[in-house]
Amino acid sequence: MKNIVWIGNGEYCMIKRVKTFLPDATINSAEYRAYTENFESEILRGISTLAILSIIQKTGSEGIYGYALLKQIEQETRNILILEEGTMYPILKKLEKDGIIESKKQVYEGRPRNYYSMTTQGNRVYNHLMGFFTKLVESLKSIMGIDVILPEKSFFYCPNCANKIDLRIKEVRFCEACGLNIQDIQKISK
Amino acid sequence: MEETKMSQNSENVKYVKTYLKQIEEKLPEWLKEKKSELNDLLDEIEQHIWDKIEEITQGQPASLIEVQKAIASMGSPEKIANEYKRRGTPKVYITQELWPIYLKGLKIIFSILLILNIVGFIFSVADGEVGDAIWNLLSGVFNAFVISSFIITLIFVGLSMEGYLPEDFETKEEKAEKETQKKLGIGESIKKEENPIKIGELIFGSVSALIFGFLLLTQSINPFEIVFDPQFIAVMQYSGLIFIISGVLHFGRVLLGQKSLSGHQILMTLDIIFGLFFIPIGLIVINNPEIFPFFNVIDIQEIYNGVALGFKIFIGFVIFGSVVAFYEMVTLKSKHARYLAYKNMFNS
Repeated sequence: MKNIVWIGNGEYCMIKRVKTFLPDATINSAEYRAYTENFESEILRGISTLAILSIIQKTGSEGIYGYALLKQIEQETRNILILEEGTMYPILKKLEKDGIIESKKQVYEGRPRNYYSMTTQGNRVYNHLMGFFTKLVESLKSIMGIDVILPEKSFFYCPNCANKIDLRIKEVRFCEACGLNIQDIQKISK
Repeated sequence: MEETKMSQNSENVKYVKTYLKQIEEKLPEWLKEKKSELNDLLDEIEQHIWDKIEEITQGQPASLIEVQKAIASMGSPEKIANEYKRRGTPKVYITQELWPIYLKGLKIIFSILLILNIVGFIFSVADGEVGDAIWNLLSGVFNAFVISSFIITLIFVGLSMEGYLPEDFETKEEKAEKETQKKLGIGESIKKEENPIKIGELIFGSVSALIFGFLLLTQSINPFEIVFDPQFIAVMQYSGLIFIISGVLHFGRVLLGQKSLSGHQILMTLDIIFGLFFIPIGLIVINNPEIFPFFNVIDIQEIYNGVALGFKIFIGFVIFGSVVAFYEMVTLKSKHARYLAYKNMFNS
């Protein structure tokens, strides 16, 4: 049996989490690993922030504290998206400073914790970014050979600015981001 | 909760605190200055570590290895601290946000050095060394530009790497002003306009000029009982007179208050003109350094050059100050109009 080499242990990038491989495998090359780690970091940087916001948004006004947020991301992404735990807090602080989220101290199990929730402005920005991200992934499906099914009964994506509009909210006539009259467009598309 | 307390034995706590201390040391200075934000951040990370330990140990008392494992999952102190330095939009080693301040700093320092070089050039020409004067002016300006650019660029690259933004240099008043603008829905592009006529400063200027002028005119305070050269006494008296005139002109502006901007401009112009009379006074001392009082006590030839140089620099500052005062006089009306428009924005 060829020698098995162990590397990494539950760290930030996917490639770093690969624990076993053959000596002549491509990822045995340090240069290859360094290059792909860098690339993964670039991809994950924006997506991590979006994932954090998605979880916070789901909690509504109740909010969620840092550790629970991290655990939920790992759970929802089946341990694919794992954030380096200490670096999540600078991201949260920046989002708070940008007015996207807000924090309030609450005592939970005898310990004071910062609970994060979305602001009104944050919700608007989030919907816009999610709309953009969703339409982007959908547009890449033929290039990348992936299948994307959009929940068209629940959400509508503004054809002008890609803002994600929740159709479950009654009487949404205009896109909140750009003001486009979406009712007529929805009727035509039906 | 109790299981957590069992994990928090003194050795484990010490280990966690050491890690937090390492993070704190690596953080940028702008964050360390904000004590409450810093403490919040470190408390949050500490709570996170204890939560992680609880998860690893399933509520059982933690060994040091388990504490180390929990801390390892947080990332290195450098990595955490670097995320806080990741502020500002990269431009060319200096962030986009700091770029305008950087350019402004370069312009100010270069202007000061240019003026000093020009003053030196004037004196060299007056001494009859035209060729040398031109060469010294050109090389002086070049060297000044290179050295000042290098130093200021280094400073701003350092600030950019630490994640500093212009808001970190704002005073409390400026921050409060920005908050007010935000609440009123005024866009961020609106710069705060200050009243160019500051009565407090004018009163202070008037009183200090009058007192200093009176002291020079009368030499009523002479604690060391120095015997002054008659020519130097005349120099002091003329200087005193100029200061008194300046004090009176400042007082005139106080009386005008916020009215008659033209009146202010006239008084400012007179102040500039009388201020220029310091130049011939300075030239008298430069050409006759022996009249300076120290020569009565210490008779050392080398001090001649020092006194002459000192008064040359003094004249340089008089010229520079006159240029600045002239600019302020010329722009007084436009600045006052902008100030009133800005003030009305808040009252409407």
